[in-house]
Amino acid sequence: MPRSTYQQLLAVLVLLAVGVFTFLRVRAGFEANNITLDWSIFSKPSPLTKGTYLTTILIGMLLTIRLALIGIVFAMLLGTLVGVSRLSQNPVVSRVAAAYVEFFRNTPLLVQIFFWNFGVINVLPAPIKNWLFDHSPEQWAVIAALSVYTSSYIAETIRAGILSVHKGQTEAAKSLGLSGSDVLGRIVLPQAFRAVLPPLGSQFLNLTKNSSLASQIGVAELFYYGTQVQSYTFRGFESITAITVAYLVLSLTITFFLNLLSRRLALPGR
Amino acid sequence: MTATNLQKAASPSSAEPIIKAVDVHKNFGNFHALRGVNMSVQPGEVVVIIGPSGSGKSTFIRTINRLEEHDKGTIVVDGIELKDGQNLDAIRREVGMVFQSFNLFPHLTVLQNVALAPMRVRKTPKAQADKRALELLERVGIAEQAHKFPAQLSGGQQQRVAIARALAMDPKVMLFDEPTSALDPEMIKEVLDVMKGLAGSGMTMLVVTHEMGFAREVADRLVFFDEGNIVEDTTPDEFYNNPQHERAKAFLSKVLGH
Ligand SMILES: Nc1ncnc2c1ncn2[C@@H]1O[C@H](COP(=O)(O)OP(=O)(O)OP(=O)(O)O)[C@@H](O)[C@H]1O
Ligand SMILES: [Mg+2]
Repeated sequence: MPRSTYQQLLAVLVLLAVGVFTFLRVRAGFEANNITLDWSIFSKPSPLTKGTYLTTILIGMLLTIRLALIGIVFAMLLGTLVGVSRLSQNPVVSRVAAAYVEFFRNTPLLVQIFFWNFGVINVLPAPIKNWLFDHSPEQWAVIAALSVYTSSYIAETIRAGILSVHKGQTEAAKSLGLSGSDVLGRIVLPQAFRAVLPPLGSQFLNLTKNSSLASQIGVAELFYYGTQVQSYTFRGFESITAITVAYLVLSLTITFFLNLLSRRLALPGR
Repeated sequence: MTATNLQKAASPSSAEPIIKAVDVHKNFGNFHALRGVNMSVQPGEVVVIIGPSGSGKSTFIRTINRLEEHDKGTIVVDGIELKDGQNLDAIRREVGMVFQSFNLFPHLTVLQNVALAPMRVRKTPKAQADKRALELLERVGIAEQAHKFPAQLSGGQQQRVAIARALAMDPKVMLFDEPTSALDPEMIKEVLDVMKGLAGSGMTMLVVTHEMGFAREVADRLVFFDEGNIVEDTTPDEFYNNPQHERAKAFLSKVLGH
């Protein structure tokens, strides 16, 4: 067996030992305090949604997925735009982009969610406002806040990615007569994205987990329903465990797809 | 003298120059990198540029496709004057450039590297651009590597792809900035051979190189740069056997073990 296989085996064994030990300790703690766990609550009918409490959790999870996916797409678009603008030759453009990054990176996300939900949405032009009121405005406020907030981090990541691309790449592209947008879109950005895929992935995960703040303006996503289940059933440990597992499943799924993507994008020979 | 040289010597040099640089200056901050360079290049001429490190060789050839903007003087390439906001793309289509570090696009295959610019800039249909790219790769001797990525090739092969990539735009002038300096000795020849073939086909070439053998075999002219200016403009043999300036003599003995 190669050495790395031994090391992996050892790591698994250590983890297993720690896991078993923790489990036993926690169980002993529950027994000492006369707490019994009852997982059957998840198969009981839920007054919150149709189906059981498990269904409630899953419905919340579905909205979390929706918020995360839309948020990631917008955050990437905005973040790329701002990251590129940050490096613009035009000083006005690059300063506006820098101000954007500093503003949205340095105010709490929860404040930004409130800002969009109670501030911005009310001052929008009437047609947009009317459309929003029929399409769960709180959700859009959350999506806006999550996208804008995360885009400020993504912008910095993209900027670092662009700066990591060798200057000779731009020169070669220019010397072939490629237009500025082709130099950026076909030569620089594809290399920049590859270089910063891991930190970009972290931002996707952050956005997904940060979406739990949506519960604070009553958006019925995973965390919201999870805590509702807790207050209806008085089953704190079980509810929190369900929420935790659900977020873990989401995050690990995203990680899985990111790994797939990074393998797809890997260049042979390097 | 090679056949090419004879052929060129026979043609009168009174034709309109394809490159004409007059009193070209370039500053980097307060460093005066080019100090009034004058140079005319006739169509089909092969000019080798040599000189000590930091003498402005790269800076000068980079002003010719406007990777550097000159601060003073005029540069006219194929009848187009290089100045602010003027026909930059037109110039870059006329002038191909090969870099010391190859600068192939690592995320594109060899074929895509060569076919990209014709498709994007000249709007050549993909099938036609690919076909031409394959012909060019054939010409530089690496058609069988067309579907590999640059990182899978040796340095010499990469540089030959870079030459094919520049040729795909059908440039009238090719600039080379130390094309073999980053190569292992055994790969230098394969690149120089491609360049010799190109010179033989009548391409106008400006080549920064210290390969004296190449210069003597292929170049019509040799210019020696020192401290931001041309101090000798002669034939390679004349320069090699009978350098005029002290700096040129010192350079020859130091760099070339003359
Ligand atoms: N972008 C730049 N900013 C500041 N100084 C520069 C820049 N590019 C070149 N220089 C300076 O200008 C001078 C000429 O540089 P250049 O690269 O043209 O020299 P070179 O003759 O090509 O030398 P080498 O043989 O080392 O390649 C050098 O002193 C260099 O440090
Ligand atoms: Mg140089």
